[in-house]
Amino acid sequence: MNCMSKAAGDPERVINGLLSVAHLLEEPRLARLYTFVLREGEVTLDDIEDGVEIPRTTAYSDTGTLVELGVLTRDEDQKTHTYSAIPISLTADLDGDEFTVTPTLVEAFGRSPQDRDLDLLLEKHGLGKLAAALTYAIPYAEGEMSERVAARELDLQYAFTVAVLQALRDVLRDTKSVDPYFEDIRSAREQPAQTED
Amino acid sequence: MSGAFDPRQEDVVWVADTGLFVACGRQQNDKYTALERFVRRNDSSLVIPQRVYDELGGGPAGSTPGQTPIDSAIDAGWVTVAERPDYTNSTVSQVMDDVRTFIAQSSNRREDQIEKTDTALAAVATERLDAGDVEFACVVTTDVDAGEGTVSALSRNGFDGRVQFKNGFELIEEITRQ
Repeated sequence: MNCMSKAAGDPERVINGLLSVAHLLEEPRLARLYTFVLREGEVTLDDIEDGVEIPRTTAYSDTGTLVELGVLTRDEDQKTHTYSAIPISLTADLDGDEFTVTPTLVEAFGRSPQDRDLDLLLEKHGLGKLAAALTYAIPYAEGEMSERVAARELDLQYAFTVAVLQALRDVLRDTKSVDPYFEDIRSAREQPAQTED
Repeated sequence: MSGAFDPRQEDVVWVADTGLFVACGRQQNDKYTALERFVRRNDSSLVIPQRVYDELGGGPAGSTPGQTPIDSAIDAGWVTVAERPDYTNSTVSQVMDDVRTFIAQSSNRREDQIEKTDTALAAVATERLDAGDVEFACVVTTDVDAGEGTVSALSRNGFDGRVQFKNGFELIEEITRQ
């Protein structure tokens, strides 16, 4: 199954793709493995074992899961199988609120067990807040979004917002060159000024 | 870095923002030691607005700011909390308004979406310069809008060439490389 290829509008493919991305965003270990393969290009199980530092049995079963989800492909032509990642881009539109999930969000999520600030954000506020914070980190990393504006609009404690923005700044630095859909991530800077009047 | 003076040579007040301390504490917090060493070598103290102190102290448990040893830094003397800015000082007030305008434009928001207290860094720098305590001011922050806004506003209000913005990430890189 290659649910991520940019083919014609097929409901089955869309819904299966949606579920795949949801699955990827449920388990940080899978997310981390996926973006590792995306960054490295073509890898073997040995590379995964070393690079992601997981036991071989886990690497074997996780790559199997990701192949089934359609976000990794396995090349079985050679004696040593190799894996490559299919870049994902999933745009969700809920009553006019739109967000595009790209490998950058997957990377941020996958990094959470190793980053106490991202971990705390997910634990207390959930994945939606991580996605929202990402839209602020995009202009922040370019020096075009003040930390205090972001904190107020994200409705998070100020110093904690700064920590999250700094964590995401590191994520963006690493994914910008490998995420082909990087430009599709919304920037909170573009958000029209709120119209409360 | 903007400006002509060398903040490590001159009579300068270093005004530091929340993001500098957070960046020092993220992942391995050995960067604090480097920051303290840097401040002491310059025979100086980092001045923080009260607002910054409150923000750092309000970080949730388990987060990086929640573990910032700011109180011990203050006890040890290399961080000092500034008095609340005197908003009735017209220069201070004008600088704060100008910083607000700058941040609003830079972050693409309306001016009323920027709070006056967002400009606390600039207020502290202005007070020190205005009182004649020091010749120069250097603001250290990871918030580029706030840093650039401070330089822009102070330059327009009679302190041209006497203020610099030092990017907090760059400072940490420099002092941990040594």
